[in-house]
Amino acid sequence: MPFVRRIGHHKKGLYDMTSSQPGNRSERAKSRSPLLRVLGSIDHALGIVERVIIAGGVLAMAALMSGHVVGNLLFSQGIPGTYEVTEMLIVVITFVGVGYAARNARHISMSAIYDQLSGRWRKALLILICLGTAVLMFYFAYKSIGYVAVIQERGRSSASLHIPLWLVYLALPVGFILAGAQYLLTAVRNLVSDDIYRAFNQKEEYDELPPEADEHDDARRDT
Amino acid sequence: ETWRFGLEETEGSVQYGYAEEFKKLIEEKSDGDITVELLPYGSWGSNYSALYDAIQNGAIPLGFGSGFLGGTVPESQLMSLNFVMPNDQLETAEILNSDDFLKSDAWQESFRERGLVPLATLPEGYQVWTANKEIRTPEDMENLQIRVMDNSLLRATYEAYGASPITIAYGELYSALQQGQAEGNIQPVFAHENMGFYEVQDYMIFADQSQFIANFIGNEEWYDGLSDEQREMLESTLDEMVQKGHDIQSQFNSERLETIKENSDINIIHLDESEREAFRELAKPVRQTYVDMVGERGQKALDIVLKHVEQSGDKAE
Amino acid sequence: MLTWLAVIMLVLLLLGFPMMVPLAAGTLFMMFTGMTFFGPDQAVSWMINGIGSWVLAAVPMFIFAADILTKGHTANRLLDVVDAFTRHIRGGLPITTAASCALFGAVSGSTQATVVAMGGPMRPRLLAKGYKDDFTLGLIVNASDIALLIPPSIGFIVYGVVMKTSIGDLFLAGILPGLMILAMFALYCYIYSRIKGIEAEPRASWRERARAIRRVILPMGFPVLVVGGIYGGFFSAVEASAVAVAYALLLEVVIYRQVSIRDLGSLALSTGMITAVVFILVAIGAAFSQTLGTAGVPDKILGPVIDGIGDNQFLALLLIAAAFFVGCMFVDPIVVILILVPIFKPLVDATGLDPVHVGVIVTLQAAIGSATPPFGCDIFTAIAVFRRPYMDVIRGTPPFIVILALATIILIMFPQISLLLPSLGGD
Ligand code: NA
Ligand code: NA
Repeated sequence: MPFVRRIGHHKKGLYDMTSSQPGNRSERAKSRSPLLRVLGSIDHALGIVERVIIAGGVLAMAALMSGHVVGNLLFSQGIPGTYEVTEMLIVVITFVGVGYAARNARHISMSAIYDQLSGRWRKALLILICLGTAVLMFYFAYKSIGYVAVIQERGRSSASLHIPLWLVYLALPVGFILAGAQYLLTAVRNLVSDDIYRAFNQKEEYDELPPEADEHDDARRDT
Repeated sequence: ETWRFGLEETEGSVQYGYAEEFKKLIEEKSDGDITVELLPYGSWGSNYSALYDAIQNGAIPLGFGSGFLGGTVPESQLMSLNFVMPNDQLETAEILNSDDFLKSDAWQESFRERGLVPLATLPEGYQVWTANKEIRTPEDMENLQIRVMDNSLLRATYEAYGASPITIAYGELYSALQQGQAEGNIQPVFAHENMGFYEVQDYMIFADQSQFIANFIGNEEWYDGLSDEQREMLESTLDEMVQKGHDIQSQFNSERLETIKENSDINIIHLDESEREAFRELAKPVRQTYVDMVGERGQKALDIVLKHVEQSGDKAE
Repeated sequence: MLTWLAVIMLVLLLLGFPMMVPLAAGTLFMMFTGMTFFGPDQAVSWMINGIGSWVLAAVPMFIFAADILTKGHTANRLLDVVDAFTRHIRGGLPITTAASCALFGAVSGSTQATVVAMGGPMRPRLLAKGYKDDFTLGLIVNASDIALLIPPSIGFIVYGVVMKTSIGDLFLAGILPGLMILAMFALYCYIYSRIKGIEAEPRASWRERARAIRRVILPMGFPVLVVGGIYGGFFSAVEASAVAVAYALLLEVVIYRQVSIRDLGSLALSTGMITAVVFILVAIGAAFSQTLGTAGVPDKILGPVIDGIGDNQFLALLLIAAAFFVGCMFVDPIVVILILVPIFKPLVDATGLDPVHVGVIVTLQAAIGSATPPFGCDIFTAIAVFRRPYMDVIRGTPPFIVILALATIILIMFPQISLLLPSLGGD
């Protein structure tokens, strides 16, 4: 039996990001609380902005770095500022990504004990985790606002293109606030609903059975 | 009372030698009231901006800022201009530590606007070129892919010589020189030795175009909070340190050069005055680039240095 | 104080707080209790400066490249060629999995990408053939380690830059150890299959094999391009990661036409999020390690040990391996390399160890650590991709970790395995 057919095409990236969205929409429609509905719309809009920044950042990095290499090889002239812009992109992707990963419940954690719990205890622990993490995120947001203000006032800029660095460092408060809000929202949602939500828009679920060989493709990759 | 002193270099470096001597003098003069704690590279982080942040926020009130300080204090890039300082290294140290320059409004304001105070200047020895071919004229440097930091002024300088400067991360530099991605390199002697760059280069060229210069800086609030007595003690120590710093630097670099000579058969070239003249002419317009980049204060600071250089009779113009 | 620090961090970790929380809490604890003179303002600076580093750009770029190849045809082509040559052996299917991970390692710099690219298609086949899921998951998660030893490798790049060692030499040094571990895994798979009585698959025809080989000629341009480009002085190791992206695009978008321009957006998003999840740990980890350093903790713990070792190279390597192994149990390998390499550099210098050989040992521990509980990025990747609970994913790992520990000992005892290729390739 030819193997190629079976492993077929992979529709999604390494982890799937976008697939939770359609589910979310129906999720939002179902929820009756007006508070959750308003929060949901704001949340949705912010999610789009985050996606554009993160994906744009990665694409820009790839284009800039490979353009730099090509320039060096063909014209003995790289793109000035490649190094510092790349470093700035890393900062932006990382901190905006902190918010985005919180939205998708993708922050790395060690869930062995959590997995052993069920029912009310499980939910209580999840709420504790969300609230504790939210507090930390808001604290870092507060601290980084102070840092950005100082850098702005003192006018630090990059060495090659003289880009004001406070603009780049804005990614910290933005990302931390977004992440803090996500954790807070998740806690709220768990408090007001019966199910367990790993993120504001994501109900918790594991596959009950190992997937069958023939249908492992897309369904399994949705998370 | 503890004075923390952050260094951009590790133990066994020019900055460390200077700081040890500084520590000894301060602790003696204060009769042990003050302890100076040295924090070499690594102990405050590994990215220079983290040190400048620590000096600016006061966690480390004293520290060095050299080539990377340009983002934080743009005017400080005066120190990387080529063919501005006199040929004599001690004379350079004296001019850059004179009240006329160091205490000038232009220089003080440049730092104070960023919450810093310039305390002294430590030239750490000439920036030396290396390459795999002889470089005596700008023609020799034509299109040479010489490695510079990702810094617009340095790039302008080497483009003025006709080179094609290439940016490589410091950590990747050895590999890049070894594999030929970069064809030349600019470092103080001790860095060539310490990082083994000389092992993968054939020529070492002393053009005496500029030194590697560190600014000794303090936190503004901390400095203004010193008692008169303490400030006097600091000033007198810094005066003594000009000669000592020069001695430390010269000895250190000559030892390192000896090591390089012992361990390799790298060709060492010293450009003569007429050869230097060709590069000097090409470097002159870059002064304007510097002024355009940093503004009027930079112009004033540059003028003070040039005035002194002229008085000293050494040929810099 | 130190005990409290450890307890707080461990409790937060075990309760299941996101990994960034224990690291941040540890940092703030040291700052608020006066163990260090630095305050939270400096923590923000360290976070930014910890990730605002050129070398780290290799991480998203290699993940992006692997992501493109996984979505497109390349990953499958690599699997097919291995499959055609190994599936008739007893244990052929798991051996195919391990060997494919190694081969994918040649086009990918990250273990997580390998888990997805090779584990995704192989797991259902293994399950269908009767292999238990704990064995299957353990195999996938651990065999992906090999990708970190086969160039290109994020582990070697980060180590090389921190240690200021030739990354080209490190790349060459990883190849034989990677193949050695592959051989050890293959042996284990063979024995396991024999014991479980799982039959082999039918042998592939030479026609099928020839066809499979033809189909991987272009993908095999990857290692040639990346390693050749670095050795030829065309670009640096970090820049090579962007070249890998460009080549992946050339293959999948232009030649195979399996990935559309539109797909690139979602692939980039996926890459960006994986990067962020790791880099926030690098950022907070940088603040944590600096705080720990100024609080004098590493000196307190390691000082006496290092004194005791003197210039015994074997003990020094054993200590380094143990420290990195334990570190990688709890924290992301990239974070561990960034934190521990500067701490151990003086020991390496003092004992006269070859930094390239140390790099292989360190990167191997980083690779092992990606799959060791409690904290392992490959475990989390497997949880996310296969949607299995944590305990299910780690249940099958112990035999593999024993094998990898054995490999570490062998490599410590025989540095030649690492150093043979660099000595031929260098100069
Ligand atoms: Na690899
Ligand atoms: Na681990």
